[in-house]
Amino acid sequence: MQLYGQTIQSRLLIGTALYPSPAVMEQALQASGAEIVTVSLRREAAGAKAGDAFWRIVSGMGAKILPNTAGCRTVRDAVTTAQMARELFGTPWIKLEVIGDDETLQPDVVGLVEAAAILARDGFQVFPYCTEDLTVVGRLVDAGCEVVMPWASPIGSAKGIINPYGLRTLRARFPDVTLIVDAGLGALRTRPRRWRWATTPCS
Amino acid sequence: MVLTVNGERQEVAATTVKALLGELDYEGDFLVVAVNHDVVRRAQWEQAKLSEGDRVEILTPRQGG
Repeated sequence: MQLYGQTIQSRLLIGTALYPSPAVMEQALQASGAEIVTVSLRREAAGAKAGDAFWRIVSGMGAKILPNTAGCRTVRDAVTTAQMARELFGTPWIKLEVIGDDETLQPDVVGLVEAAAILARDGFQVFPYCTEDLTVVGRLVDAGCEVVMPWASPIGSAKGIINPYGLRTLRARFPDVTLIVDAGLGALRTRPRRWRWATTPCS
Repeated sequence: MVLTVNGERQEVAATTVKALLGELDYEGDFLVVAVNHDVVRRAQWEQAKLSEGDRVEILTPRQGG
């Protein structure tokens, strides 16, 4: 697939959250064959050095890093976090998340479009986490996004693809945009048919 | 001087970013700092002055996403 001019062989992006241990995370990252690993930025506690051990594992994988703005609830916080990620990781890539609802972690799509436009003007290559809303994705593309990450369903819900029609419509209407279906897909063993469907629309 | 560091009010003697990190026992190669939403590059930590009431964010890579 194409991501801002870079060809990536694996269609799987892998996250780093919720592993039972750093060793299991490291094994999973290696076994996945994924070329892209998503990483968060969080507040560091004084004297903790908690980020160092984690980062040494991830950076040792040789994978491309896709930092995110997880946890940000305002445009300003998301933009600042993106700028801090660029400083730390040295990449223009940013998975942009602006959370609008604490319970479902549904994206604030209004804030998302605003933040994406700011960051695109600042030279970022933005991967916005969004819903499957056609108009919102159009606005993100207008803002300069060549990649969008529509959800399958709310984060952690494991409901699979709740609106296949919506995703197919995005694929048809934006044939040149890389779509990465993100969030809510559920475990592979419980939804194999949906998983296969989810991976095929990526360009 | 009173600052807000990672959301918490802190009274500190430091007047630069580098001194603040030392005073609060922040170490490591993988820290990134912003003051009042402006990123302070590592090369500027020693010169970057702090002022009363500044909001300082100190972040590090973590699991997530």
